[in-house]
Amino acid sequence: MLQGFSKTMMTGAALLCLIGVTNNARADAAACPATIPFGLTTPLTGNLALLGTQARNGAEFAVDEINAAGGISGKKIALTTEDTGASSTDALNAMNRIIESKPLVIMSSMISPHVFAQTESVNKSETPFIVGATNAKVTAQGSKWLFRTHAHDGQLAELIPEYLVKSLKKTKPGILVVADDYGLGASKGIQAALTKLNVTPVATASYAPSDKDMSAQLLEIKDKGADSLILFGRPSDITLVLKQMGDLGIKLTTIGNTSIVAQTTLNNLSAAEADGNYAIGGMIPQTSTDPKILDWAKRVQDKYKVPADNFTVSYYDSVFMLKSIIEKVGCDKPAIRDALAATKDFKGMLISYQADANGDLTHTLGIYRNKGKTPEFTGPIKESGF
Amino acid sequence: MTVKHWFPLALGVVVALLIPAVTHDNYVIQLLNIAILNAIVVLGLNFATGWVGQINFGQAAFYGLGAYTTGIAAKAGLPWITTPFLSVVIVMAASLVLGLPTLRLRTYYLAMTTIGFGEIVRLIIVHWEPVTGGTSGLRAIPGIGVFGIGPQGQVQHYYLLIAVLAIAALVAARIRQSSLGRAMIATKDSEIAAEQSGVDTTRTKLIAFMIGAVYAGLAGCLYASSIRFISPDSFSGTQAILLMTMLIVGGMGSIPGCIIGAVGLTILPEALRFLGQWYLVLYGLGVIAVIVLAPGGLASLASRLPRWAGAR
Repeated sequence: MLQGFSKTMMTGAALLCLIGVTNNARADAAACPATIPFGLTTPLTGNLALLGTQARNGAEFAVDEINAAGGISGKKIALTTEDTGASSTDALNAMNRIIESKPLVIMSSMISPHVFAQTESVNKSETPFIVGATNAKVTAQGSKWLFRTHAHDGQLAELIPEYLVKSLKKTKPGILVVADDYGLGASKGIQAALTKLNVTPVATASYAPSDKDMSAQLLEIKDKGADSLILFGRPSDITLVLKQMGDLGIKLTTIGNTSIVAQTTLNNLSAAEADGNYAIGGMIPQTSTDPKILDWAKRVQDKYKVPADNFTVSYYDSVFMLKSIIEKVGCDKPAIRDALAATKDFKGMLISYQADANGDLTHTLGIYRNKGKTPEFTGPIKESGF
Repeated sequence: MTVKHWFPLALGVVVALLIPAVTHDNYVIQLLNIAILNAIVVLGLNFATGWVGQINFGQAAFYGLGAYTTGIAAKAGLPWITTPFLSVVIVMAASLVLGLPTLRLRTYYLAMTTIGFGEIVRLIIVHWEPVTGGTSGLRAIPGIGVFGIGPQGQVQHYYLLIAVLAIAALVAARIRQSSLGRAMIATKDSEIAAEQSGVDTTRTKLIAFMIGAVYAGLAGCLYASSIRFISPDSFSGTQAILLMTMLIVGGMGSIPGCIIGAVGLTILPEALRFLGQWYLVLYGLGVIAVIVLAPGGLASLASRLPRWAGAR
């Protein structure tokens, strides 16, 4: 009886193998399925949701536009989005869920610890992986599948001190950052860049992401004689810092990341609190003079009730970059990866993308200055070597 | 133990062992691996909170200490086999230093102290960047391996973690049946009465607190070696509250309750993903419903079933 059972099992196994081989033989590496599966993991709940939804908005808006225009070579994109929440463990769970659905490409959020947690799983799945994570080390992990389409804090750490010292002629800056991966990483890089410029910050301080009172740090910076403030944080906490500077009567030339000119920040500030502050970072659409881009920003705001920001632009561009690549190389993952690595002058909404050896595609950043509550584009600034 | 006790236990073991044969979905297996690790941590929390009645919000910090000790030691080149011992030594030392001055006091002092302790551990991890990797965390932590032999892939990790959970539950059951376990329950019921009966309540509370920390430290060690990436957000105050919720929902003082609560509340948010952002509402309502309708936790429902059946 056992022998009979074994024979049946072996025949079944052989049949299954045969079906598998036949299917493989039929598959064409570059042919795309009826719908092209894209995956995205990003925080949609928790304290990072405000940021995470920008990635979802940008990617989803691009997918909708592409599908409405007929898809990629006639095939629609199916975007699956999974919420990571605020923890890296949940981000890994969300990524494993996405990977099991076998997407052609995966995008992940701007939250670097989440991307660090996910990279090994994505590498194993051998799927092209596009992120907006801002920690400079994200693309230094040695993954041949990982690419970044957003500016990173290493670039900001180099460019902000340079602009502050050389163009704004300030030599006694104080540094205030949010004590998370983004702010502390930037603070370290900024201090190193200032040292190269022979400038020593008069004070270096940080605040916890959940802090609501930063007056002690601000007063310390003021009391130590700072002539300027380098400020790095998220829109919610940057708003509080700028408000408290106004309340305390601290007037310093302030420069930092694009949270300073983000619409979500400006909506909660008075014109006096916002006026004159500088930001360097990824490109934001509201400062464009191109009516097409302004119309795009308006349509995004109408749909999601949240103003588009630099991340929205970056994820929107990522999807169109993938469309362009898939049209050329088909749905073969290694070919898509190779095409991403060979990207040269892909025209995005506001900048051109060019891949470097690490997989970083953004090398042009924008300088912005608030005029009252309206951010103005002062000009582009390029990473050295690009 | 009677058949009434053995049957659900045997059924649970059989189901647990068969899961990888039923599903080959790595996502499901990894999710279960995290649920098992949470179950070990909650079993530890049950000593101080479930059996001794002390509110402890420091369990996530001990979990993190175990994980970071393992991550740092393994990345420094120490053999993996040394890391569980190092993790245990570190969490025992930390729990002793924390427990000695606070457990002499009654009421909510331990709760307040452990909240502060969790924040101190988080700040050290965030700001001691050269060692802990700061907010970016520690990556590429060497996996579990003894003399070159170790689990490969999610399924093998799953069986290893199931074995560790079984041992952790058995040890907890043995302790519960011992004189120490009885002293814990007596301390919870009435410290004054327990002291009058000759129980050294301070010592009992301290031992329960330290055993719980050891459970968390060992789970942290396994977390770091199996996930191979750790960052401060996985051991935050939010995680401490979640662990406490798992204990309450599962059933304080019940070993199966700890496991049911941890596995249930790890899987539930994932199972409700189809609801999008509304899952938090349903998740919250579910937790409230359990607390209101079954104050003894999910484990208490099992004991009520025969009564309900009899009432019909």
